[in-house]
Amino acid sequence: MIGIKSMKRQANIWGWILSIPLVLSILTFIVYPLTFGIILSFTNWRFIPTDLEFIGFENYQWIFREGQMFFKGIWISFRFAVISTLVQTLLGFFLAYILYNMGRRSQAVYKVLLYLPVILPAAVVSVMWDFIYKPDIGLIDRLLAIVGIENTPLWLIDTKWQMSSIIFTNTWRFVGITLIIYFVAMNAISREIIESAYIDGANRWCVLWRIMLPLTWSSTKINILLSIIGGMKSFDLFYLMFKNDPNMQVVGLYIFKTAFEYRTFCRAVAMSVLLSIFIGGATFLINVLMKRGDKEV
Amino acid sequence: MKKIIKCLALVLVIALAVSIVACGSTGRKRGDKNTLNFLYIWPEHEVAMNKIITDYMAEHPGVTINPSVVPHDEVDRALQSAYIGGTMPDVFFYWSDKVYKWVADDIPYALNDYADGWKEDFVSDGVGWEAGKVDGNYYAIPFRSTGFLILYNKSYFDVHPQWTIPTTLQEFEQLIMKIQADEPGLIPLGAYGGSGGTMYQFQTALSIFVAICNGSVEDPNYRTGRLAPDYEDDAGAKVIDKFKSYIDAGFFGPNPHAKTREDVMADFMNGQSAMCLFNNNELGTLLEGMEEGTEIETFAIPAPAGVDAKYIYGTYDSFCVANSAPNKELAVDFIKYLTSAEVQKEWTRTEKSIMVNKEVTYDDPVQQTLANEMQFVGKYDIYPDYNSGDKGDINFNLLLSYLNGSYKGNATDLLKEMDGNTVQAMRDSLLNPPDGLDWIQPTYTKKDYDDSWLNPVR
Repeated sequence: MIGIKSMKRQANIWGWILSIPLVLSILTFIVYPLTFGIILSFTNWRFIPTDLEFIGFENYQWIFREGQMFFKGIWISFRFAVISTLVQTLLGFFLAYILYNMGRRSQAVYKVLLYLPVILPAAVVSVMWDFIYKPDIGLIDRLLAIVGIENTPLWLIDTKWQMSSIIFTNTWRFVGITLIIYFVAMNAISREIIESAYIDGANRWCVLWRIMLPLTWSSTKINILLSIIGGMKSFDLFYLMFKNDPNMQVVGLYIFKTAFEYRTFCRAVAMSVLLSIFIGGATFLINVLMKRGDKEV
Repeated sequence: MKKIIKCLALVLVIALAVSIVACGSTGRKRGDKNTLNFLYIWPEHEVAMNKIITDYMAEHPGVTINPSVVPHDEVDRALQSAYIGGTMPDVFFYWSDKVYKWVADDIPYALNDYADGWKEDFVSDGVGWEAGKVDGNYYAIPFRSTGFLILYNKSYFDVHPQWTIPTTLQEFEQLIMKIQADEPGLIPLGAYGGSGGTMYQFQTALSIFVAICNGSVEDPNYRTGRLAPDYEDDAGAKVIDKFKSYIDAGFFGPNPHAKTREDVMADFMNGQSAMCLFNNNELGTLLEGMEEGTEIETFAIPAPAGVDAKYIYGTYDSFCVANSAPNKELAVDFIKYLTSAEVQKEWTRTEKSIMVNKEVTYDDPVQQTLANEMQFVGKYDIYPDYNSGDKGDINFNLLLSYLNGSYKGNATDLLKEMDGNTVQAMRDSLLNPPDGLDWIQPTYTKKDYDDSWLNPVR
């Protein structure tokens, strides 16, 4: 006879054993690097971690005293993140709505086509768009020349156009994710609600504005959060397309350079900590604003 | 079912433990005294390097060399990981002028004891050794030189006999203007902007010519780049204004800031530029992309009339011995083998590089000309012994704003601001030695010279 108590104890033991891999993974791959990183930001770790010493808040003081490039990087990333998010969310929503109203076959084709850029490696995207933006011989300049527009700007060089160009590329690359999230959310809306609205005389615009938008609000939240966080952390495209352009040094790129080019890892880690706090704060703020939006919706 | 879950849990725990242990393994065993771990950067020369290694091992029975090769932009991270992981190579590649970065962490071994009798084997009295000198110690032994020269498409010059190869800076400027006048659509000299852009080499060249003229090259601390600036002398400001006038006058064609290395290469290969400023190691690539029979010839940036010098921006691809190497004699012996006349001759025959051993001669006349010109690599260059951190980028930003006309101030204001940033970086105890560095008061005797060549063009 096995008692209930011993069965429960056995189940508990197995529960603990089964959770060991997960707990160990979390400790090893999340808690340890995070804690280690924060600790390192208080040391003098340069490039080679020898003779490590705790130097208190010196790295943080340096950032606030001399880190003009860091704050410039934050500002560039922030501008990029906000504009990208707005464009990507709006475009993604409308594309999803267009897709939603298509036939099944067309949906299948367009879903794949619009999602394709998401799976392309950044290196491929950068090479492709670098060519598209090339002065005179690039696709854009060629197309504009056909319609009689000459003397086009240097899309990737002209400081007035650089940001727009990279946002355009980034939107092209990631709008597929936004679209799919919205598309899934739209499909989750009961057809009866939409049909009732049409029976009550609503037109497509009204359905979009009064039904689709409120009922996909949670997807809007996810999209905005993902896009803002992704935008603030953006690195690969900027590294590949603007590595040495002083006007496009996003914060991620500057942190990378601080670590590997300027060889001051401790400052790079301190900057990463500050960036995480900034992103955390922005996420919290967006969540608060979204909650207000929840009530209105 | 329960048994399966139990087994699965056990397997997962073991797998995790194994993976964590595996993360900590070094992958490579530390060699004994007869084994050399060797890291270099040229995957494109792997076959040639493997042959050298095989030959060396055949000549030295009992010695094993474990080579590893990484792309040039990965060498820093590879060395960092190797050091942290305890697998630091005994002999490793690095650029002479950048070796100071590792000296700060006491990684390379000082090779002063080996200089006598070896340095003389190198071209230009071993000037390449000086590029790898930090605090009076030699840390990097040159293997081959790499530098930027003006390459010209001979076909254009054959068609226009009035385009003569310049021997002075003034003649060079006249040549550019002739090209502009005779072939309005042709880019006189292909060069690109951006950080690390080749066109800025002209600014450096002008500064060096000033240093030769005023005698500061004679100062024992000239190469450190830390000679205290003298704002009463306006030569520095004139250099910037003259360089700006080159850009404004279209010496590098329209929008050189917008060009990339690949654009400049394509322009030259397609015959859209008469000349270009390129690394000697890329001559082969350029020739391959051009019409068959096209001839490329080359010259260095000439100095102003009356100054016996030329300027080539460049450095030396070198090898260092790690402080951690268990057998330094063997490491040095291997580098001696790499820099021996026999190995260097073979390398240039198969790989077309310009080598550092003075006994090397070149069958190809173009290569021989290159080699003659490249004796100037590093002759007058400043190899800063400090890390400028992000101040280098900030200064580049400032220079760009001056060149595009958005800087509020004149060239002297710009220089003062840039020098202020530089000294801030020097004094940064994290970037540089704990006590920080500073300007060094010059000790050279200043010479008077005619600086009319510094007037902006047009």
